[in-house]
Amino acid sequence: MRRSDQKYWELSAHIVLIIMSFLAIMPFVLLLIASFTDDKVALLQGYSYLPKKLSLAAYGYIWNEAQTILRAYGITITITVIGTLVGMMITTMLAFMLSREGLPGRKVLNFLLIFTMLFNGGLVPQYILYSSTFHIKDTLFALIVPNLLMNAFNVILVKNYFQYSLPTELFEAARIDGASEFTVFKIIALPLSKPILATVGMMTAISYWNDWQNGMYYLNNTKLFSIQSILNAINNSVQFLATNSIEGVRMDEIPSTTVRMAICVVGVIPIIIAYPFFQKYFVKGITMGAVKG
Amino acid sequence: MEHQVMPKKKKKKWKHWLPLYLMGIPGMAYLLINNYIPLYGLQIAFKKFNFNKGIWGSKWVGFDNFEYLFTSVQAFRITRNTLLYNLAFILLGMVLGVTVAILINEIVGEKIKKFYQTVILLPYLMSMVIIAYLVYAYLSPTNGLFNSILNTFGIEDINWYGEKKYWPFILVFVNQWKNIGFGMIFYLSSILGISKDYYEAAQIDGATKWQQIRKITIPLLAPTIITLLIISMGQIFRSDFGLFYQIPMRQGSLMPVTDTIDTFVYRSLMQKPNMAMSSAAGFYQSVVGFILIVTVNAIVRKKSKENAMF
Amino acid sequence: MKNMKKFLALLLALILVVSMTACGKSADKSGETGAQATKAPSTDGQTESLINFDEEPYEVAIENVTLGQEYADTAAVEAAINAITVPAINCKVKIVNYHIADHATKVSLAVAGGDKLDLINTGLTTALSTLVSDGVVISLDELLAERGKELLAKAVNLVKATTVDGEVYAVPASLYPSKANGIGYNQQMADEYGITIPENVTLEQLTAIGAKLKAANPDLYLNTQGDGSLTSLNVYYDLEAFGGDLNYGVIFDPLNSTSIVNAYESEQYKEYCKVFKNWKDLGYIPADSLTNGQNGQDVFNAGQTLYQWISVSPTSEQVVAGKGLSFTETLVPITPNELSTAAVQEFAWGITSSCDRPDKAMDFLNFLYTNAEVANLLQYGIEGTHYVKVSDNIITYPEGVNPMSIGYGRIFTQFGDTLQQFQLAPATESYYDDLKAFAAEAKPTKTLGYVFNTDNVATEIAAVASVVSEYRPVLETGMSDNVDATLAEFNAALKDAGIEKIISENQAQLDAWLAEQ
Repeated sequence: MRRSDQKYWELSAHIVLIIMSFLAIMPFVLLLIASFTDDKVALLQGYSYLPKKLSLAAYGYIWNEAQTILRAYGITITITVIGTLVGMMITTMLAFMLSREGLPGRKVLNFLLIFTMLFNGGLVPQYILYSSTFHIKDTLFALIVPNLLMNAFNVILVKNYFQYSLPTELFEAARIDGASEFTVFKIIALPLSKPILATVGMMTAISYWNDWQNGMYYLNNTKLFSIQSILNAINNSVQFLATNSIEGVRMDEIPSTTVRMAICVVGVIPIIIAYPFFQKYFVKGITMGAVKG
Repeated sequence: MEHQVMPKKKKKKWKHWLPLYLMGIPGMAYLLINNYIPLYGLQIAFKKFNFNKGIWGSKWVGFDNFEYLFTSVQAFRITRNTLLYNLAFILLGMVLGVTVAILINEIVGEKIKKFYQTVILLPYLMSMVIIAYLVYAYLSPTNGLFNSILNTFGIEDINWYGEKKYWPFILVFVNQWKNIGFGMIFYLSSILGISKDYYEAAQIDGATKWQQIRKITIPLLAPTIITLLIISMGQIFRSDFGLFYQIPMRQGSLMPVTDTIDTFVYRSLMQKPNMAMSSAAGFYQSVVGFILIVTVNAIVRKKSKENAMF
Repeated sequence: MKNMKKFLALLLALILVVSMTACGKSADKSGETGAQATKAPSTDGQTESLINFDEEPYEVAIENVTLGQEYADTAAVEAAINAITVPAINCKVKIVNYHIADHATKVSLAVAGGDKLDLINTGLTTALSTLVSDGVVISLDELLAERGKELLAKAVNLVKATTVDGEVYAVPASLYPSKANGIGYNQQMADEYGITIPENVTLEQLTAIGAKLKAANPDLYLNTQGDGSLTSLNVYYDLEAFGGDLNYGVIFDPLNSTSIVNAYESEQYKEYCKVFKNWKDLGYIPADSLTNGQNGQDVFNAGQTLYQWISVSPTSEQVVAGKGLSFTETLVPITPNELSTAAVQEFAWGITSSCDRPDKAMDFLNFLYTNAEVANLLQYGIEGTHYVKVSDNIITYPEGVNPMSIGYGRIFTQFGDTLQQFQLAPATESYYDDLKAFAAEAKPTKTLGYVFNTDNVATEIAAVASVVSEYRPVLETGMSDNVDATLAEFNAALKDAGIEKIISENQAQLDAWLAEQ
């Protein structure tokens, strides 16, 4: 009886998820095909699953920039790895502190954290601080530090996990054994929190991967451009020239809209490849939980 | 005796808490630098901002910069749209996110599970500009895929970009389609954190799947759900600019149902950029968000103290 | 002796400034004589006397606006320029690259953050009046009089158009900025279907042409209005819009009139909207241009439309010829060849308020307009590497080099005296005479030199802009079912938003300005 209940649930889950996957994949397939569509055909007939004529021109344009793009991938990977590691460290430590009930001043600190999600001083004061006081312009720090390193949302998620999803008895037992808070954090909290750490880690990594704003504000040296900064620059050229008429610019120098599709593909594919590796931690997290709990 | 114990105990406590505070220092320092010091920029909203004079030196103008937000004929419509869409996004996002997370959790095969997760996250990775092109490929009045499907069933073309009645659904759909993978991941990680013991015990008692979900999964997800709910209250006056600006292709005739505070501010200041006026809009959104978040948190605290955020 | 010369030059500069602000209508003539007068005594030694050669050479940071190119040879170009400028004016140059799409943001951040940035292009992405009221650029009056004499002499007729509230804030990037609005059409397509397009063609004539084209080949379009974000009213009607995209009111026939009217309520606008509604119904323009994301240039270049809008001048003819189209694009002016405030302000150079040494920035700017060698270096890079000569003054890209892969170049920004600088092929040596003649026959508008200060009506301008972006694209792409009804609704919404207050403020400022002239 129970088995058939389980089967029935799994079957319906499959049906729903297959429909959802279909909805998610079909536009992506269209994106892929659009990036291979001949420009003129796209202009005249729009994008379709069965374009009249295929072309590699969009990728040809990107290939022209191959050297730049490879260097940019290198920079993106560097900042994503460093930023995610450092970010996760300070995020989990802060979350652990805020998750400890009874900590004097905890409520005030919690409020201070949430406040940052509501109010911000805007770009100009932040830029002045980072560029004039910390001199991060045209350094890798510019791509790592502003806004992305830690955010209140992630801290709250990890904090909640520590607070509600981990068995409090484990903490108490360890503390009675005389373990310091830091030991409790390292030996108990972190290893048991892999699902949320993988989640938050991946979200941080994606935000590093997709960021172009820090590059736009703080970089003039194109050699430090990350992949999204480059893609964004190309994208902006197309966009700008589509909405502004500036004389003296030769339009044939500019790749057209199919390039944007190709750009999106180039930006997304590495994430799709990397994502399953992150998911491994989900699985590990479950087994861990099962053993200890 | 007691006299001597008390301070000693306090001292011990202080020593006990110290490592925790130390652990919090890097994070709090980052918030101080990244978020708190730049807060002095909030005054731009109340000034006639002049680059030469700087933020502190610019002239105060009271609430002048806020005026355009309230005097315009569209003030009501943008407020209504922003609020209603956000409510729909929040509620649907919660229901769908939890449902999909539970369903994925039911899947046994690891490979297929990974596949579903990856695929459902795909839309989250695309920018709104690209999504707008794709949506147009489906809805285009001349060679859109939807209209050709309708035609094969003998139904006449629909001018999707001319009829505003479809757009609340289109926008809600695109929003959920894009963000469901993201929301699902948070709920899933919470579900994975629930100890298997609970389910095993329930199964021994003969509980059905549905009963397990209702009695174990949902209650244990409640803290995550409530947290995300309170957080989203703070953002309720902000709208996803890309969604509302790019997807309807800036169509004037659709604006009664697609115009939100952020698109309105953009359209108002596009031709003549004014930093102070856009800061004013941001400040207004923050204040409303702040009031809401404090209110909702107070309500939550009354009902169940431990779920309140502060 | 030197002091005497300096005094004389200063005196002349003073006379120049006074005559410039005092004489309104005869500015043309007085400017020319003024220019000759300064030129005579002002030798190289004159400028140098103001320059302190004992200090370290100051590095002037000048922007280059790009489409994302890396310009790997920038340092080499800087070195080549420094080799000339250090001995001549004790200045070094530093070229700062900005992407055109980020330009407005990055300039304001650089100025706010006190970054090294001295000379910026005004008008390119942000209107001069906005930059002035935001305090991004500084007044150049004293600097021009003291250290920019040669430049002032050359631009004396033009700087009154870069004057805001009585002070000059920028110098024109081109000394010959007059232009006409008009269209460029596909000559092959016209020939094939026996179409001729006369100068000053009217909307009525174009409708007849559209009928002919459509009858011959139903797949082609006459024109497209794109997504409706850019108006083309100024293509078909001669008007002055004060840089306000029609929202600040307009003067129709600005060569003779100074009365500002609400463009959206004018007969011309109603007529214009109805023509496009008619064209859309007849299929002369695409019915889906509002949403399909195709801009007019793309569609025209792909050979789908007969014509596109373009401004007409010898320079744009040269640009069009260089586009590498598969057909010939012939330019036809519709509005007169005019010199207006907007034409001058479109591209100009200003000194930022964060500049440490405005005097040195002015020295460099002045030098750019007098020394063609430096101007050519800064514009085109180094001979042999970035360009090769075709004839004396005409250059072209070296083999295998294109504007995206080149080691140094400039796309959006120009400066200096065009008549003294190289031109890119396919321009020919006759370009210089054409430009001179075109500039000479340009007529100044009555409001040349007037700039609308929008500070008092900022709220109304924002409100009007949001109304316009809602209604105008629909009207101008012919997508409205009932032009009269939509137009009435549009105008009612504009009134609520306060367009009348903007226009009366504009007229009041203009009247005050006219009274001063």
